[in-house]
Order: sequence, then C-alpha cells, then structure tokens
Amino acid sequence: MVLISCKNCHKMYEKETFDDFKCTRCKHTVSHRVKNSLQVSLALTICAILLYIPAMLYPMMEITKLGISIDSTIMEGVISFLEYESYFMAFVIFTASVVIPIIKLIGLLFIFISLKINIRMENKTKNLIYKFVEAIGKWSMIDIYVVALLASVVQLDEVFNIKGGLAATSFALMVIVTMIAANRFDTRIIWDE
Amino acid sequence: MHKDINNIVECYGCGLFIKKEPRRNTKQNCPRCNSKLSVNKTHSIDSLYYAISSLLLFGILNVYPLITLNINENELKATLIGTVQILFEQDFFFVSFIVLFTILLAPIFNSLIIIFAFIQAKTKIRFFTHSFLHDSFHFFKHWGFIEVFIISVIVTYIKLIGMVSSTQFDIGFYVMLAYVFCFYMSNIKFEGKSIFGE
Repeated sequence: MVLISCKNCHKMYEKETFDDFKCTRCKHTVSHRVKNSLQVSLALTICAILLYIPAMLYPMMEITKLGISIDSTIMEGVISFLEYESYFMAFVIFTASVVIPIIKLIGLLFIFISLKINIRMENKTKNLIYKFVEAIGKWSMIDIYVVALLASVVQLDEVFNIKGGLAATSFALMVIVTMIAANRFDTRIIWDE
Repeated sequence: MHKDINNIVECYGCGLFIKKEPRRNTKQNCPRCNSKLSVNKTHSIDSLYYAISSLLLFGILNVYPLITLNINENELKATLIGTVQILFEQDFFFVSFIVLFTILLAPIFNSLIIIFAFIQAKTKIRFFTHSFLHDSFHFFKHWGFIEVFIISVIVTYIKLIGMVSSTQFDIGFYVMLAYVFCFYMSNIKFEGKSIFGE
C-alpha cells in the first residue's frame, strides 16, 4: 500500500500503486509527481532568459518633452534616478527590474541543473531558493505598472507625453513566463532518490 | 495496515507524509524541509464581510483618481482603469491585458468567489461546483498583484514629483489603501479547502 495525496485539494488516499486516478473530492487527476515538471519548467526558464534580453536592450518608455522624444531603457531609468540624487528610487527600480529577474532566472536554472549534475548542496537549501524565487516573482511587475501609470497621467501631446516602449511587452512576458515556470515545478523531485 | 489517513498530511515541498497536529489553527512545519504545512484552519465569516467591503471600495476606487498633477493649468489624472486604457490605445495589447487581469479582474473575481462560496455554504443555492470555486479561488489569489500596484503608485508619485512639483496623491490612493487592507483580510480569513464542506 502507498500513500498519495491530491496536490490540488490535499485529500489523502491509500492505494496499491502510484498510478494516476481522479480525485473524488475535486475531480482533478492525482499523480504521484507533476508530469514532466522539470522539462516544462526548464523550457519556460530558457524562454524567460531569451525574453529578458530585448527587455533590457530596448526602451521601456518614450518621453516626449516640447517635441523632443527620448527613449529610456530600464538601466537608463535607474541612472536618471541616480542623477536626480533619488537613490532610494534607483534602488527600488534596480532591485525590481534587474536584480529580482536575474535572481529568479539564475535560482531556477541552478535548481534544475543541480538535479542533473551532482552539486554539493543540501536539498533544504534548494527548497529555500525555490521558495524565495516563488515569493519574489510578482514584484518585478513594478516597472510595468509604473510605465502604465506614467503613460496614463502624462498626456499633453507634443508638450509632455510618456509612451510605453518595446521592452514593456517582453518584460511583462518574461515575468509571467518565470512565474509559470516556478509554479509548474514540483519541488518533491528534489528529494526523490 | 489501515491507518487513519485523514490524520496524515503531505508536505508539498519534499513529499514527506506527516501526522497532522490534532489542535486546530496551530502552525506545523515539515521536519525534513521546514516548509509550512496546510493546517486545520477554521473558516471565518469575517472573510465574507471583508470581501463585500473590498468590492464596495473597489467601486469607489474607480471613481476617483490615484494621482493628480497640474501642468500649465492642465489637470492630469491617473486612474486605475486609465492605466489599462492607455496601454490599449498605444497598441500594447498584451501588456494591457496583463495589467487588466492582475490589478482589476483577478482581485474582483477573488472577492466574488469568496462571496459565492459563503452563499453556497449558507443556502441551498448552487451557482458553481465546489471544485470550480476552490480552483478559481487559488488561481485568482495567485494572479492578483494589487499590492505590487500600490507600490508602483508610490514609485510613480516619487518619479513625477521630481518632474512636476504639483503632483499629489488623490482620494483614489487612500481608498486603495483601505481596499488592499480589506482584500488581504478577506483572503487571510478564508480557507479554500472548506469550500468542500468536509
């Protein structure tokens, strides 16, 4: 006899084998482990890394002041805050748009690689990294919301105007894809022999 | 060998099966990976009141602007729906949809699901299946980013005040603070599993 539980509603079952079956409570398919969780999460993480490149290279917003348009990338935005001596804001934007996405992507890649290559690290630490990645996931959206708010408030045609840039789409997509990658990963496989 | 399997809980962090703490509302951690385990949390009716309050506040929030500023006697305003609308008008369809879903739809549906769950639990009316309510509650809770948005409003304010000194928070921002509080409380006091009534 083996114990198996529904990951969706947490109902416990005692079964003969680890074969899939339907949960009597929530009607979801109960599996011993999430199917192809590592492969899907790894593919999504690689996709997120590729999306992060245009997000950093292309402008996040386009500012028009008295008919002159200036494009601003994420890093240029951080530098402009530093120039205005707004160090706290530079720190917030830099953390949300640069540090958090990089930590998320490296953290996930590290966990996935550690499952294939023997890396000396406790499973508990890997679990901790995963939990941290999952918890900080949505905070990268700050920059997207700031661009949306600035674009909605500053609309004075050629006098003063703010528009979203090309990087906004790839950055938003990168955040969502990373969140799905983290969500899809079944951490129990870290502990499987 | 038949154990009482209802007293066992699986840790979804490491897959270890652990005996449940018999006392209700007590925190329990996995002895192997230290993950927080799902506890026997009791459902509170307060969650319903907070969910209704948050929906009402959400309605008010959409009436008032979050930030206002004056440039050459032109009054500019930022509203919640305006942020979605402007992205859509600027052809950022995907970003506009993401913003619409994460700051408007997911939080509204989250509160509605809590209200429907209570209606179904207290009356014989059945709008949705238990499974649908349970899955929707967790889905909308996961994809609602309203707390991130409120930080973004503060960042935008600081960014704007550097450019235009007349920038100020408007009524919408203060309503939003109250809304986030009610929204959070409704989620904390609600136990997804109790939808199944077991």
